[in-house]
Amino acid sequence: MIKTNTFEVIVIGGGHAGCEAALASGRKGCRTLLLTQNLDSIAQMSCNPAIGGLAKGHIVREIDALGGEMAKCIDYTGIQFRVLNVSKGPAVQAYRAQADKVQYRLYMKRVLERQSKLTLMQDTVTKILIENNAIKGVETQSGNTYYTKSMILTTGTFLNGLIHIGLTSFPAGRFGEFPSTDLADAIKTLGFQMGRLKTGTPPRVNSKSIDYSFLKIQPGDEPPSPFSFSTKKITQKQIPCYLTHTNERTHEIIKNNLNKSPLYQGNITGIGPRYCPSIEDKVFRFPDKPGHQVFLEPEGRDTEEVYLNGVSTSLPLDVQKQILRSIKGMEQCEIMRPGYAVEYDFVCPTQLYPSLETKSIKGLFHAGQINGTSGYEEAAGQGLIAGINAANLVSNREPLVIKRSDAYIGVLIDDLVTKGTKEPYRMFTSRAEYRLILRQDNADLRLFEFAYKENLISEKEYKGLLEKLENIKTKINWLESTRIKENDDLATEIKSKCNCQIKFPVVLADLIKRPEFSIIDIINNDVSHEVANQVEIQIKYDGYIKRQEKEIERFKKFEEKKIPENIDYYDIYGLSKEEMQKLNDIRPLTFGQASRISGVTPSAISSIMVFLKKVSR
Amino acid sequence: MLTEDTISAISTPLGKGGIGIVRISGTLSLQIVKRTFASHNGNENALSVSHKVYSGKIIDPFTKKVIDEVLVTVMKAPNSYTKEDVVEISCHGGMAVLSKVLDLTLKEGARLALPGEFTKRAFINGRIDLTQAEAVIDIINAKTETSLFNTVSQLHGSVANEVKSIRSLLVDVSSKLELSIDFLEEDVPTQSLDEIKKTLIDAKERIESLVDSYKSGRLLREGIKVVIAGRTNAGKSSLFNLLLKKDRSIVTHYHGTTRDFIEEDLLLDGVTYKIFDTAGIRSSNHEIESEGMARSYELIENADINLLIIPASEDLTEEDIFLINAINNKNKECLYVLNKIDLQQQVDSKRISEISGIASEKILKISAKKNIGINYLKNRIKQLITDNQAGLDTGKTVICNVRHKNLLDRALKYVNAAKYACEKKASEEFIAFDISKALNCLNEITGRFYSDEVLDKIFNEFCIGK
Repeated sequence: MIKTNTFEVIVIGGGHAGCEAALASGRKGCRTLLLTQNLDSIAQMSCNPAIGGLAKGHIVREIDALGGEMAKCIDYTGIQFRVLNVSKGPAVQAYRAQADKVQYRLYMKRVLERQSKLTLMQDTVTKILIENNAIKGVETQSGNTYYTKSMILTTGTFLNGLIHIGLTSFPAGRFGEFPSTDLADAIKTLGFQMGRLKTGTPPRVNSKSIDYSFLKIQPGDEPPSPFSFSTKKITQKQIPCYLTHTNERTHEIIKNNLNKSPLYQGNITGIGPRYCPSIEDKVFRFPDKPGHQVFLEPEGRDTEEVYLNGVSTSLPLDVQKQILRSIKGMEQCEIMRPGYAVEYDFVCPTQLYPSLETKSIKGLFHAGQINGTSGYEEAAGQGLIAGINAANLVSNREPLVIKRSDAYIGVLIDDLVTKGTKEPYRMFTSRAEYRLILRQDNADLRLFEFAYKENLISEKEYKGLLEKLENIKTKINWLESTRIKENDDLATEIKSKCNCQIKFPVVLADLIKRPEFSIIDIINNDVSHEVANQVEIQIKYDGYIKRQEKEIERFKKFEEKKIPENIDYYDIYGLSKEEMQKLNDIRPLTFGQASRISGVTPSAISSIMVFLKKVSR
Repeated sequence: MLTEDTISAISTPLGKGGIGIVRISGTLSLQIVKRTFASHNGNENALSVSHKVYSGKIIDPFTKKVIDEVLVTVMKAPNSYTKEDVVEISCHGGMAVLSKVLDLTLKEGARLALPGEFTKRAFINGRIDLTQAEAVIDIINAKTETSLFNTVSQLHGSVANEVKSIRSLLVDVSSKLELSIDFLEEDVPTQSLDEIKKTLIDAKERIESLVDSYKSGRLLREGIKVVIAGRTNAGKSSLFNLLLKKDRSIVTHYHGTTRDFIEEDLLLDGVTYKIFDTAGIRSSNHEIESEGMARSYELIENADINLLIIPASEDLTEEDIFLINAINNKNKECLYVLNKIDLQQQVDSKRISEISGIASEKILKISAKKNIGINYLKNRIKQLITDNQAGLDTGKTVICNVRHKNLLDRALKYVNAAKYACEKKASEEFIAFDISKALNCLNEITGRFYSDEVLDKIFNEFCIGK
């Protein structure tokens, strides 16, 4: 009995974090159990039907490079693909795709079902079992007990979830789904410091009730660009989105109904994301703006449901209807699901190590919205790392910690565990100080060594990437060392392809640095498109890239210098009381992390260094 | 302090005394000094042996100008104070030269050392005895407190405000750039590269003017260099003695009595002036004296104000005309002084006006011997300082602190790079990259570190939320 109920890793929750966590753990060979309240809402997209975007798209590419599933899933189930910021530099270009929500979760569920070593079970956790400050297992609603030494909590918006529609509120995780109240109590009893956040979602309407004829159409790119490094081509047909705007009349309706808003009547105490305000917030805070954008995004191929991006609201249903019907193209619209706000508990993420393991309970990991983030991509990125590290814990391997200079996932986790968050945390490219290096185009090259070390890519994939790296180097060397004269064959060829003034003799790399030149003017098809692209980026932006690399190198030793876990900050001469307390709360693992804690001064860092030197003698 | 970089600082107490040491520690220290040092005997392998002293010159690699004759001591790791590669440059040209040498090392890649940083490194690298550990912390804390004090109060209130105001310009540009990068699909106003460039030029000019003010800050701190120049026997030493009211220079009627130079402080209305009496300029084959004359030229070049003394009692000589032209070309503050007006006049101000282009009424007439016109001369000196950009009037923003100047220099470099990127029509993230670097420098002056500032500004000012 005990044997069948014992797993090496248990994942609680089947959202975007839970899926990546369970897959990573299973793929690393751990006997893994995924417990979810409802198998049919595995990988459910609770809010917008899209994956990617600025910084988020970067994370998806990183997940892919680390052997995760999200990129493949959206490539397979996407209904519209776009590359954003194409007019800008490569570091801030990003992929985004509209998903077929149903297909997306079915695909993900199928991948989970087929994953060896992974067991799926529908049940609700009611109790967390702890022994000697280490995880022991869980008890479920159905009366079962599951045992493990390594467990990942991915609770999403379900912990004490409370939905608001107008002045009505009721407990729910998502609309129509039970919240996790027992689990919330269980977590509280473990002594964690908790907080409350709020997020919202717009109403969904029936497509047949929308008049698209005067709306601006937003088609996908042709050809569509896939997210995954392994997807060769996207073959499915794309579906367009549409754009309309709110107007003065819409805003009038909202202003007249603020007394029915749970947000403005003080019913909601959780803190919402400033980058994703409700329409009532936008109208209230920016009264001079005559209109706000509303994107009409189809929820899938086999449904008429349309997601109204831009009008998230928690006003009562009748007001929602008035609001929508005042908008061009939606005069006759029929709401199928109301918009709502949801409040939920999160566990302050500064209580985690960068491995995402909690500091107070050995073997307990947190990933996703429970850590105060928002977004499918942010959740999936954390889930992947938590899954890897839960498995590493079982096999006594060092946890994988990805640095800020390695990936957006590194920035995300470092921000969470070092600074915590006050609002639902979303990734922006501006959060990454090494943005020019953390590009979506080089995610595979940045991360494949980690993926290989963690057994998440095959020997063959690894060799392929080594070869890619080598090809890039060789090509760059050739371009940097080849000087051509006016009469060379290559010169004639280049001149025929490009109508530019060239002063011969010229080094090929210098030609590529000129904005009017593209690499395809110079090299033939002897390398793959991906290699050519890397070569071009690395040569064209050489100056900036080198500057960032130098910066990373300069901070490297300091960044990696470890602080012993048993250090007693209250024993360190020269620290202020506030610094002692903050350092003791966060318990940074490295000097790099310590230096990013707000309120910790450079002289405090010196004091710690001196202290450690002293005790080491 | 947080990195393994190379640090540099003037490691002798600031103030009087001609000799001082610039100390550099870290992996780049040898490389930095090698680029600026020329050994006396032209030895290519100079500086290669540890614990040896090398004599030579420090030369600015850009202007190729000799800054000072120096002795350089090389102490390779681990046998040095910090257990890193340490190079010490002993200069003897006084504070100004020390600052220049320090500046060069910073330009070549060193970072200005923080207070107590050499000692801290010595400790971290295991050089200092255990019992000294807490003393080190005290040094670091005490000095940091002082520099904190510097940033909030010693720093002229107007400097703090000006830096803050430049900073908010840059935060503003930055938030607009980030807006166009991360929130491209939002319906928010975008800023054209031209507008961004305009703001950057504004920021650039304001930082430049702060950097320039360092000169006046330096003037206030170190004294204003007034060089008495002229051909031999023009009466320079007499004037010098009269200004300082003592007989220090040897005054004779023989040409070329002052063979090197003499320096004394003069306090006028609370402002310190360093008055230099120089060797007169004349064609001479006496070696010591011609070296003295080389010194004179150098002093004229580095002067804040030159007093060019021309004896009215003799006809203009080749040397007088040479000096008038030389000083005119340097674009230096200069007062033309006709001395010996008590004697029979061979030259008048009209004549000098013709040669120098200076209005004749601006040419001063004095007699050092008879103490005529000296008060007027002093007033004119004071007036020069208050009138021109020396910034001694209290309302003006002046940078006094070399650390601030260094940070502003760096900020300026980044703002220029961002401006250049704008001109090249680079994508926003590249412009933002250099602006964020510039902001980091300004943050170190204002002591304000706040990572979410740009995002906060975006959320507060723009309606985000697709």
